[in-house]
Amino acid sequence: MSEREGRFTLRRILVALDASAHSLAALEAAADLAAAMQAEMEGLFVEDINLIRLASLPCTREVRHTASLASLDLEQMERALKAQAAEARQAMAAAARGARVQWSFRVARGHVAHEVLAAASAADLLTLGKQGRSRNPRARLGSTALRALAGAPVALLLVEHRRVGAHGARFGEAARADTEARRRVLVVADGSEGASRALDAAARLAEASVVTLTVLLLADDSNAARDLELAAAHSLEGRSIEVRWRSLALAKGHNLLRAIQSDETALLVLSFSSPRLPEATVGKLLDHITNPVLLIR
Amino acid sequence: MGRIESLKPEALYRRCDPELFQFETTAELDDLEGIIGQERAVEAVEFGTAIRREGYNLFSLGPSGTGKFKIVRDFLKRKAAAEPIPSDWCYVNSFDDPQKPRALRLPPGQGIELRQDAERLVEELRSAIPAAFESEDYRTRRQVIEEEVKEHHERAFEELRRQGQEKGIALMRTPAGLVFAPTQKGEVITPEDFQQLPEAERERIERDIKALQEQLQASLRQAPQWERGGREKLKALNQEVANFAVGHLIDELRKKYTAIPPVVEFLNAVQQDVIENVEAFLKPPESPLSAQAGNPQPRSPKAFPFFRRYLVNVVVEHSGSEGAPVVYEDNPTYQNLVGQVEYMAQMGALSTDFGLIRSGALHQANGGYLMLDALRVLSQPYAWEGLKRTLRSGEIRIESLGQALSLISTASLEPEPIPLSVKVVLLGERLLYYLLSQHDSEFNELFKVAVDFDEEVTRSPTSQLLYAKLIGRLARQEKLLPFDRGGVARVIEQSARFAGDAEKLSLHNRTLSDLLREADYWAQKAGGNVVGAGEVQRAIDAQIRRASRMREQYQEEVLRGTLLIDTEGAKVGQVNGLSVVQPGRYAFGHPSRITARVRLGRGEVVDIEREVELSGPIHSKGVLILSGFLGARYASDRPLSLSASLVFEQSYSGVEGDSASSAELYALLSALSETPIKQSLAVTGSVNQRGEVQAIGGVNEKIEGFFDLCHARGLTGEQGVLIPASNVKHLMLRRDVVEAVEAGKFHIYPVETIDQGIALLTGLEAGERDGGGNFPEGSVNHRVEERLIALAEKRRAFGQPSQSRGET
Repeated sequence: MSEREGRFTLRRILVALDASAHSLAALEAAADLAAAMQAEMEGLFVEDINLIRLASLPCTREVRHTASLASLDLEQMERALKAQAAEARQAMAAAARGARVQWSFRVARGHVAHEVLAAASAADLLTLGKQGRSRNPRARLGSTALRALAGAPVALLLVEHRRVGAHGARFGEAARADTEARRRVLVVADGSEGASRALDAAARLAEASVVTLTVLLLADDSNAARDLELAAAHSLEGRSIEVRWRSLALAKGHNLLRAIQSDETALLVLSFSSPRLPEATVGKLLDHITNPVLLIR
Repeated sequence: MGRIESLKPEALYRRCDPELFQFETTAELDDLEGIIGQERAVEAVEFGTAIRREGYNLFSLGPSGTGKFKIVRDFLKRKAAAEPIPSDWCYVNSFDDPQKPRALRLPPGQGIELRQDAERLVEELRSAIPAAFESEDYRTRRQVIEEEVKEHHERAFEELRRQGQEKGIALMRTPAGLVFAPTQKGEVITPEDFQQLPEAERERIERDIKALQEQLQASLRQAPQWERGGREKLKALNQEVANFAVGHLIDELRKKYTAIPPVVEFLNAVQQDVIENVEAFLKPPESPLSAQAGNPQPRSPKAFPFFRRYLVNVVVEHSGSEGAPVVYEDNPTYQNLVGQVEYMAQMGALSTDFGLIRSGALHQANGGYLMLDALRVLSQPYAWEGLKRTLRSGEIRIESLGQALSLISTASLEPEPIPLSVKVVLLGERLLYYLLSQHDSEFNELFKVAVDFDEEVTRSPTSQLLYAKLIGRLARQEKLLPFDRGGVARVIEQSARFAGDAEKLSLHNRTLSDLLREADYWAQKAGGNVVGAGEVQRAIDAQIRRASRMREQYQEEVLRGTLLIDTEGAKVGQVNGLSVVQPGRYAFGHPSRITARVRLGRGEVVDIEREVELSGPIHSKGVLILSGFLGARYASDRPLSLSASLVFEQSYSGVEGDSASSAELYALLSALSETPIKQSLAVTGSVNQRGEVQAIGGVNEKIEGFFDLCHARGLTGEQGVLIPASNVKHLMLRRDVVEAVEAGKFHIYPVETIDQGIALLTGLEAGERDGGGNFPEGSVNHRVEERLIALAEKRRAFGQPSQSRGET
């Protein structure tokens, strides 16, 4: 991420892959952004050092999903990790080819979060699935995502794999999800510094992807909302995008939540630091929405 | 025995007097009520259609062209119109066993209604069900269930994770499963560090891990149960919601069809099936359903394959009918009779369902009448067998030929059979009827009523008037000019000629209609507005002219002397016989020379035609009768010691019939008595062993054949034809023949016995035995007897010295 003169640019996107459904969804979203912004993609697969270690421990056994027990050895573990890496690489290649962008892919070994964050500092954007393979089912966000949220040095794109086609799935989702996710960009404007950066980034994305930008205005009253709208409109001047305005009575969490959920396939652009949206609230928000979220530093 | 007088002109042609009729033209006549001359057939049809018993189907027999089809159809239509309209029939899916579609019987006209209702129902279901499933209420309830399952999992894992954490053990996910690993400062301990731990600590860790693993295994084993429980709850929820959405839509229909229990049953089955397959209504239209439904693509884009299962295939419907159906199936193939199941190519494979069941003629005629051409049914593979089987079983079972013959056993449909109540009327030639009744025992079981059509009716003033009405009706039907009295009379006369009998009228409708149409043509061409006798005559002449190429060629060859026929003078052992040739519809007669030679022999009369197998059995029979006659009359007390040979000169194809046997006998008698026969006469008639002359066929054509030849050579006044006296009633001769007879230039002699004939032919008395048993001197018979005695003597003289006795 470079923010020279408040301009949001995107040249390198780091995609952390672990072959999980969420990370593949993240890869898709990243490929869309890369295609729109003509950035290049870098895939990273981290071989978890913890797994290597536990495979060498004498006391560990693997419990399979069929409830059977299996012994572990290092060689087997390394082979399995290699297979996953190869799968991730293939997915990367396919996504990049589809988006017609440059790409690279590498495998690292170490602590997952550490390796990912270290690699991210060389990129403009880090893309992650909301959860990884070693998920804690209680939390909506995986451990790596939490670490990135707290300490990513660059912009962060978090994507959730949305279950479709399963028993009782909502109708038409399968057909819509793909295309319409790229169709709209949502951004929250509250007059803060961070929010205006987010608005700038969202506007650039919407312009590059030729989609509608919806600005959610967070203000105390309708006058303030009008002021916000005027200011935001001013900053958007000269851009050829279609903008929709939506005024929300001040951020009682669920009000904003509703507005976002009602457009659950759109890309939501937020700022890490916003007085009206403290970090804790952002985390809570992420727990409750399924939209892909782009956090701007 | 007196001389036979030649027939008076009145006997040669029975005129129909135009003055008999009151009308001027047929335009004044009412239509003919009913049918002339087919009382027997009409009674049979009335009986056969009224009797409601198994096997009383009808076979209408008679030559083609007698109008049987029209008569029967008209009768059936009149009768059927007053009979009740039969039920509609539909096939619907059988949800328990889709291979066996169910048949539904509905009151007439309601089949289409049910089909429309079913289509509407599917449309409504397709919007009502998704709407119900998109409701907020449903989504919330579903999420609760899903969350419940998830909670189960999560709680179990969370518990294990917590327990592990307390003991410094982390639950980790590997590519293939889950592992508990000891940790140090939040990370998995390295193997080196682990080794450094005190022995007791290591053992504790191993124990803890083991315990945790066992717990994990236990909860993993339980996981499928939770999931199943969740799925069941979800299914129950789906069914509840679907039932709510479906129930009231189907209730309306149930109320509407409450009087027809099978339909209500079907609706219940639909309801249950919709609820069980509710997912199909929720899928977006793009998703391929065919694999799931296993149904072919429908022709109409109205429904997708899956929803076909709820539709109704109306195979028989009578919404616009009045009365019972009368069906004539022009192309009675097996499939067209019993119906068929069609197939559709789908992804290269053939598949089918109840919607592709097609009805046959038997379905359409069920409750009414089915008319079929017998020959066509018989010439279509398995159509006859299929028809019989259906009639025998009393139900229509749709099976492909392959199934019926057990040739193929691929899965196909077995539609529920439909009960059959139909009268089948087969139409065919008589021969076909007799062959079937002789060779097919089932035929007599199934077609008990023969409707036998007459070809002619006795000619009487009444029938002639009816005939005039028939002519009037045909003229109106065919939009011909009306026929005047003279024209009608001429048609009636010609009709008698068609019948070959002055006392009968032909009932052959086609020949009659043709004549009327052609007479009308000539009348129109001449610009008239009625058809008179002249036009009818012209039509007859033209018909003869068109058909006369062969006849004229014959005659030409005779006139040019290629074919040797004498029409004057007298010859021994030679007589003019007459035969009839019928190459197509038109028959003509022509003379043939028959000769006989005799010599000493052993009593055989050799028929050369027979020796070379050019004669048919009846002809041979006639010749054998001759030896019987000869032996009995002239040589009852001594061996018949002649050898005679008889031949049809210049005949190169077969000879059949015995109508020349009298001529052969005359030739033989002439040869034996060495009495010449007048060549100005020609002879026809068969003979029996007593020397009586018997009737033959084609008498008119034969006389005309000889007359034409004599006329061409010039009538001498001597010429004539000997015909059997019993044929006089058949005479309907051409006008020119009658005129020549009137003028005394041609004669027709009715002959009863050989003696009468030989007297006419030779000009000598035949001779009768007197009291002493002798023929009068100089008579033909006397000469014959003398010759035979002389031959017998000679033979004895030859035989005595050298030949053994046993030989005869």
